[in-house]
Order: sequence, then structure tokens, then C-alpha cells
Amino acid sequence: MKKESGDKSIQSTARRKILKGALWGSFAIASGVSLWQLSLTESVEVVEADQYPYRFLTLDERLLLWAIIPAYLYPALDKDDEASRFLVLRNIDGAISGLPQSTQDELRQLFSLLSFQLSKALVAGIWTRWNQADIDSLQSFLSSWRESYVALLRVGYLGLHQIIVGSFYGEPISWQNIGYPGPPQMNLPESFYEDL
Amino acid sequence: MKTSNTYDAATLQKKTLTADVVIVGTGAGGGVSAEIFAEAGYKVLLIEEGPLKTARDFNMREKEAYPQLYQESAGRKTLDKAINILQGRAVGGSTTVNWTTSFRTPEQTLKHWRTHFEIAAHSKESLAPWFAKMEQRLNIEPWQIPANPNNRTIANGAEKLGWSHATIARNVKGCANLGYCGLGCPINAKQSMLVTTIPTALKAGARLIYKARVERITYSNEAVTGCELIAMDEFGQPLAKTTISVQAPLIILSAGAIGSPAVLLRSKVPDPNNLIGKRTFLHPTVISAAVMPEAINGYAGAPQSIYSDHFLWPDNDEIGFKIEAAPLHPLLTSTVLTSFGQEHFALMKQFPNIQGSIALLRDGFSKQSVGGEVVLDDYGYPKVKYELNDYFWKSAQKALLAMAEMQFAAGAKQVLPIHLYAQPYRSWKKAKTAIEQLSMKPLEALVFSAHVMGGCAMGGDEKRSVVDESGRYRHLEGLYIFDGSIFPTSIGANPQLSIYGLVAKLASQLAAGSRI
Repeated sequence: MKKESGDKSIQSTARRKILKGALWGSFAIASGVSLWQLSLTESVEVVEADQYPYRFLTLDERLLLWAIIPAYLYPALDKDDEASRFLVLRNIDGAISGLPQSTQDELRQLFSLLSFQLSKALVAGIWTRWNQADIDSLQSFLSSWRESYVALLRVGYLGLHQIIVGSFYGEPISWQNIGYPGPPQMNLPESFYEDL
Repeated sequence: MKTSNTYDAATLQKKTLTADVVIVGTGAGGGVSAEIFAEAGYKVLLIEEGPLKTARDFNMREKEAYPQLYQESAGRKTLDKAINILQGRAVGGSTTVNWTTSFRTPEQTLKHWRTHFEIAAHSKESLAPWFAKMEQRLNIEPWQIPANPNNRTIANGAEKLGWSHATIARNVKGCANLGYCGLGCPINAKQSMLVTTIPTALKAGARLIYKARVERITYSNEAVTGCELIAMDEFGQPLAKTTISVQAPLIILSAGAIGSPAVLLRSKVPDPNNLIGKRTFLHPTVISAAVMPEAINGYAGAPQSIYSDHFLWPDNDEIGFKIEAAPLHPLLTSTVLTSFGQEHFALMKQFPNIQGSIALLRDGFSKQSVGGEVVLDDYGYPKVKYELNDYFWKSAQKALLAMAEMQFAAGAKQVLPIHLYAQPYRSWKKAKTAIEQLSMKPLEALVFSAHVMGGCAMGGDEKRSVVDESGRYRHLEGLYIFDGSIFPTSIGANPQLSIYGLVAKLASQLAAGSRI
């Protein structure tokens, strides 16, 4: 299981700063940093500062999901609701941790593909700057995956859909808007279970 | 459930164990076998891959239940990701999380097995006493309480259209009609293996090791000698350093239609005709969601109480389908509605009014429906290959049409077939035109499965079957397979009672020493 150390986060921040000043292109790809990450602005720090012990998601993958979560969930999830977005992120990490190794490997590849495709879109000028206001652009991007003739991109769309949307609607914070009262409260005495 | 005689594999001190019989898996097949063998005086050792969770743990939260109680967090998929498979992984197997729907094996299915697979021993008549026995054991009877609105919609629609429909029998005792069967029954009303056969077996001296996966069956001189286990952590990942070996002259494999072939493939048991893992059936299922004028609250009340078999046995060679309701809880519902953003939220806001209908396609009954195949990945973990061909899609499209017609007949305001490119349609006429034009392809129309069957086919012909009519593995002494994997086709109905009845018969005959 990959662990994020404090050192690595610092390196990552530094790396992004260096790259922001560099001519971004082949250099960024060769260094393994996604182009789209370079355009991230204010939201980066909050994700990097998060101390939660993620089991699966790397910092790069968390940044990627941080950006794509609102594209799937807005307006059910408010753009500025960072607490809920973290909840979704942690649920995704928990769900993936229970998947078999080969599926985890595939998800790593999916995140990498997503990162690459977003970079391409950025280079193509589909959008010029990535921040939280760019939900429309991101949603067009999701539509392109959803409607793609390439089965792999539809797999990606559906796979991300399942883990992101499911991680939100499993939480009570989502239930009031959809008229779901939550499971019944049982409040059974301990003796009930002992008698079983 | 009392938890004496149960052991978490990770904390087990002894690394070598012995037993008269090892039962691999604690679902419908393993649970029934365990009770029969323990009561017959055998020293039984039960092995379960998943955790031991009981009513006390079942808090009806999807977020916790799916990772704890289901294979792959309820997200198990075929190799191409086109079919999402809901399968249990806990003590009690899928019986801990199923929706309690109980049907005897349809007579047409048993006749097909006789004609096409030379299975003469298991007819409607010869199985009847075993079904009766298990119906009594698990309190299976037609649901007495009026159907919830989700199921009533099916009755109303079928009624209007003159389609046959009937009430479902359920394995419950003292059911409070909560509607959360799929997340584990919080009051032990569901008569799953977890609260019936397994506690009885433990009381009779059986031992249960949970969070343990059988890596391989060991054998020498064409007879089994035992098996090797590996402990699993709380996330269901193997703990490489914690292995346990078991010596036993008799092994009953009840790991289900994906797990049983996987154990055999990992064990490299003799398989001269290359049949292990072939002909895996899933009852591939398509979904139609309706927005009803009144509140449905599909999360409340018995999940399945009405069905229609109007289209199950067509006169031609097409795949028939069974129509049932699907309970609706927010997490699973949100993942099935495949849009995103505003469009998705608009649907979710209508959650209380959504009705969910499903059509289960009866695969395996035609030369054009050969099912899937269980294979091992690089880690020795099972994956299912399953090709959804045009023959399947033709009936899948018919099923989406039938469900939409039924939902509109029941008063639906809108109907949404679960397909990447479908919209909610406002009339039967519009829905019909649209569904007829939808492209029916993998990863466009969404396909689900809640029933895994086949992969270790039973049959009379040695060259075409993995086990004989008694469930005996054909190429090793002391190995029996008692679960849904031995079905040579799908069942054409929710399979739990088919497994209970057949396994009760096979296990009783084996325990008594009188093979067929």
C-alpha cells in the first residue's frame, strides 16, 4: 500500500511551483506530473494539507478526484462544500481498499488515463485554466467520455460515476435533498441480541 | 447468533487442523451441508472468506454494508465491466444479504436438464420432498402482508395488461417489513444460513473459520487430502504470511459459481475435458425506473413480493425473462442512474416517487446462450468473462419495452430505461419509439446480476460435466460440489431455494453413505 509521507507532499508542492514557471509540455509529461495539475490554483493547498490516512489514493489521485467530484455531483454537492468533498474522497478510498488487487491496479490506470486525457484537453485549449469555477468545462469533458465510441472511456465514465456518486449518496448529508428519511432507528436493548 | 466455535483466521493459534469434512463457503450450499453433516455426527470445519457479522452489526447503512457484506464492495464486475454482480461475502454468503425471494426450481428447467444434460435423478417429483423440507426449515411461505407500492406497481401494471403475476414466497419469521434485507436483517427475521443452519451446526460441534480463503485443495493419488487456507484482513485482502493447513478426507465445495471454479483452478485439479469455470450463468438483468405520481418509498417494505412470469417461457427460442421489483436505497439507486450533474440531481430529487422494475434473463437454455467463463487473474483471483451477444440484446430490449409498458399501465408519469443514452420518457408511445431505437450494446445498456450459477456443471455425460448427479467431482476421490455452480443452466428464478433443496438432497445422501 502506498503511503504518503510529509516529505513527499512538500516535494510535490515544490515540484508544482517549479513546473508552473517552466515551459510545460514534454517536460511535465516526462516528469510524471499531469499538465492539468499545473493549472490548479487555490484548492491544491487544502488537499495537500489533509492529514487523513488514505490507504489507496495518492496525493496526485486525490487532487484529480478533488477536481472531478463536483463535475459529477454539482449541484447536489455545493461547489464550496469542502467538508462533503472530503467525505466523498474518504469513502472512495475506503471502497477501493476492499477491491481485489487487479481491480485496484485497473483503477490506478484509470486515474492515470483521466489525468492524461484532461491534460490533452487542456493543451487543446478546451479550457485554459482549471479551478472550481470550471465545472461546465469539466462536465463537457465527462459528456465526451460518456458518449464516446471507445468502450474504455465509457468504462472510465461509469467506473468514476459509481465510486463518486455512490460515495456521496451513502452519506446522510445527501439524504434531505432527495426525501430519504434514513434507515429506521431500532434502539433495541442489548438483551434483544442476547436472546437471539 | 452465538459465536462459540468460531475463529477469525488471522488470530488462530493452531496452523494445522483436522476434520472429517471441510465445507468451503457458508452460503446456501455450505450452510445446508453443514447442518446435515454436523447433525449426522461428522467433525465439520466450515471455511468462510468473508467476515462474521450478525444482527447487532446490521445498521442498515449502505455505506457500511456493501464493503462488509458483499464481494468487491457490491461492485464486482465481469472482465469487460459490462455486468455489475451483486454477491454476498460474509458468514451466510449471499443468503445474509439477499431479498428473501424463494421459488422452487421451475419444472421446465428440470425437464431441460433431463433432455439436454442427461440428469434423470432430479425431477420435479424427486425434489419435491426436499423443497418441502427446506421450506419448512426456513419458514418459506407466500408473503401475507400487502405488497409495498414498489411491488404493487408491478401487480397493477400486469393486471391492466392482462399479464400473469403472483405473490412471492419469502424465508422470513417475524418480519417487520422494514425493507433492508439487502443490508443484513437487523432483527434476525430473515431465515438466512446465518441464523438457521449455521448456528445449529455450531451447536452440534462444527467449527467455523471466517476471514479465510481456501487457496487450494490438496490431493494425492487421485484423492483429496485437505486444503490450505490464507487469512484475510478487514478489507478482504489476503494476509500472505498467515496460512493454515487442514487435513480432511472429504471436502465439500460450496463457494458459489465464481468461488468454486476459482478454488478448483487454483488447485490445478485434474480436468481432462477442460470444463471447470465454463458455462457460468448470471441471469443478466436490465432495469427500468419509473417516476410515479404518488410516493413509492422503494426503500420500505418487503423488497420483492410480486413477480410476473408472463414472458419467462416464450414459444420461440428467445431468452425469456422474469419481471420483479428492485428495492431502492439511495446509494445503489444513485449509481444506477447513469447521468451526472444537474440531470442526475433532478432524478434523485424524485427519489421517493421512483419505482424500480427489473427483468432477469434466463441464460443458458439455447446454443446461442453459452454463458460466461471464470478465469484467474495474475493474483489467482477469479474474474468472469461474459459475452453479451445479439441473441441476448434482442430479449434485453424486449424486456425494457415490456417493463416500460407495464409501468405506464400502472400510471407512471415518466419511464427511464437504464441505458447511458436514454432519457425519461413521458408516454408509452414515446418510450416505445425511443427504446426501439436505443443501441443495445455492452456499456451502453446497463446490465446487472444478483445470481451466479454454473461453472461446475452437473450432468450424466462424463465428457460434458464436472460433477455427476450426486455432486461428486468426477476426477478426485472425496471431493463434492454442493452449490449453485453445479447447475448446468441458469434456473429461471431466484436461485436460493433451488440450492437449498438440491443440496439438502445431495448432502443427506452423502452423509448417510448411500450415494445415488
